[in-house]
Amino acid sequence: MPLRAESSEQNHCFAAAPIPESARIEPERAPVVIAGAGLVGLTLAVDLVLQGIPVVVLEKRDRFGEGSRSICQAKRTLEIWDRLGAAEAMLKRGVTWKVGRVFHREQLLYSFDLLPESGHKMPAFINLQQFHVEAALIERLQALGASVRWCHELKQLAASAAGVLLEVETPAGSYQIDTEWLVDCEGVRSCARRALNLRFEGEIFADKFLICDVKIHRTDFPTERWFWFEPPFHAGQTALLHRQADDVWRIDLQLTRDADPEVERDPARVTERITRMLGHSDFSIEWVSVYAFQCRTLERYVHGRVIFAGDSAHQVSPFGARGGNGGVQDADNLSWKLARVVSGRAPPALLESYHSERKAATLENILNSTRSTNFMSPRTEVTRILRDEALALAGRHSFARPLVNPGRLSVPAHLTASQLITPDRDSWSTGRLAPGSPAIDAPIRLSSAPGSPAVDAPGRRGPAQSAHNGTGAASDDGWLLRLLGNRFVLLVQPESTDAKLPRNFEAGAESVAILAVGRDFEDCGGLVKQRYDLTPGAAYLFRPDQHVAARWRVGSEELVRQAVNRCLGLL
Amino acid sequence: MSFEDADAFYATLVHALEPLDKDEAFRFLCRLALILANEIGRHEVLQAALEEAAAARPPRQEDSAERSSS
Repeated sequence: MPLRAESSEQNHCFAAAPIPESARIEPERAPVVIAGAGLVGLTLAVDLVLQGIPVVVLEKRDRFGEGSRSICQAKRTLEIWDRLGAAEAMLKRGVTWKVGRVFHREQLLYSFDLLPESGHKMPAFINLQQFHVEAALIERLQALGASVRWCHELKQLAASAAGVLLEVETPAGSYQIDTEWLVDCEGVRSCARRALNLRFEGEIFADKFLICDVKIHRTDFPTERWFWFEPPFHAGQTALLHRQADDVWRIDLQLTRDADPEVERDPARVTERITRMLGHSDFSIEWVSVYAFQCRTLERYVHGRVIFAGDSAHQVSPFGARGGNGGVQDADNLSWKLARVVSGRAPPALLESYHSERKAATLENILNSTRSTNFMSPRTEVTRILRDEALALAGRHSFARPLVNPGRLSVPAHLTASQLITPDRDSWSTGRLAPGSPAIDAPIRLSSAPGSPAVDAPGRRGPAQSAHNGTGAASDDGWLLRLLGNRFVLLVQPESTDAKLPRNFEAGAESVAILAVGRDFEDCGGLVKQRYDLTPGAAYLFRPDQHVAARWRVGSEELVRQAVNRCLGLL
Repeated sequence: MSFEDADAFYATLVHALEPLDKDEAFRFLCRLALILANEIGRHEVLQAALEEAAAARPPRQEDSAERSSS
């Protein structure tokens, strides 16, 4: 069976961008250049433009990358894209899922339900091909008046203390950009990493995986994540089956260590394997690739004026959905800091916290990925026997199920060890909102617009359904995370209904928006109070990336000012 | 905590292992280790037990041969 042509949407060619007129005479000047228009570069670009920083986005290709690539978009990632105003299109197109099943040979070992608690705008996960995500981000970027420079390839760079001089090649010739900051989001084959001669630390595993996108024309498989150890159709290995948009399914098949990628990619061989797996041949293959597991990171993510994000900074094996989701959190963490450094509101030293916060997150991702890899693919005969016996026990006893590790799915980073965070002094019942943690969503009703459509009640309907039932637009502002936005916010539970609170609070160059429960919004389901353990006088300070910076049972101007300064690297 | 009846436990273990060949016995001991680890639960105690087991490994023939030749 021949490989089908990629869908026309994915195969769309973007026109090469012209060279800016001024750059023909002298180097173009730009505060920030982003190299690479993948999901990390695009997320960062949209975020910076929203924060008032103009960006130049260079992309050497004229189209999206091949295949579905990073398909599992986690809740925290969707919340970030929703903050950017780009998530609605993705939710409409993506496949929402929450149930996973793990098999050993013919036997179902266990199933899990990610059970998102109700009262969140975003579901636990959607599956959506990376190019669909990128298309939504490009559309958002264009709506904001910015664009990607397709067919502009970063070829060389010269970094100094004041900035970076870039050599860019296009079909119409070369030009130079003199930028204050270069953010490298070019992934595994990055020009900047090569130019600075930076090496990854970590492991490349010997095991190889065959990864395929398959359009299945008839199927009884439900919208769930199915994982097999030693499946009957693929002896001794592992397999994963996961639905994406457009009736396309992701299939990952583990190969033996000595497998030859060229042989394994052969369409006839792939077709035979998948026919054995599905039990029929009513499918067409859209994309095939062979990859090795990697768990690697740069030692440092900030090198003077060159900053690394996403796969160009770190790579993890894919079974925890930690690559794409980790990269998007990089962009989320970097954008508000870079925006403030570029506009002179924070010292360049603030960017050091991007490195330390995200390096800690990467190490957590690598730890989880390495453990999963070693379980899925034991390295020695002895550990293989141990693994098989753990699987055998798990089939009989529920206590052994936690040992079974088919990938630990991406969870948001809790930056509790960060220097930017003001540790708790008071006692709180909500550990999951300890300073450094990302904000938790809750339904609200905006007080300023009493006539606006009612917010979805946090009843039995899950958030996935509310996003998919066509009322998503009506409830757009009815969520706490939407209201927090991309600024410093102080969420306050007023001590009394007649308490006089200002709308803003000036902390140096930073304006902190004050959101008072009851004044600026109604806690219509009571979930804000419950989830944030709010008592009269209590206050939470959020960073622009919606992580908790500090919280107090009773706040004061001085405490808030100190916490904001600490967040900006001024203390 | 210590054995209620060490002799009885050891005898039962020997009785369970005797009919098994090396491979079967290794698999049995793997399962036993996982079951007992779950009974203990606390990571700190398990960590100490793993270190204890590694430290108590008798020197292999080739180890001592190396030492005598150097």
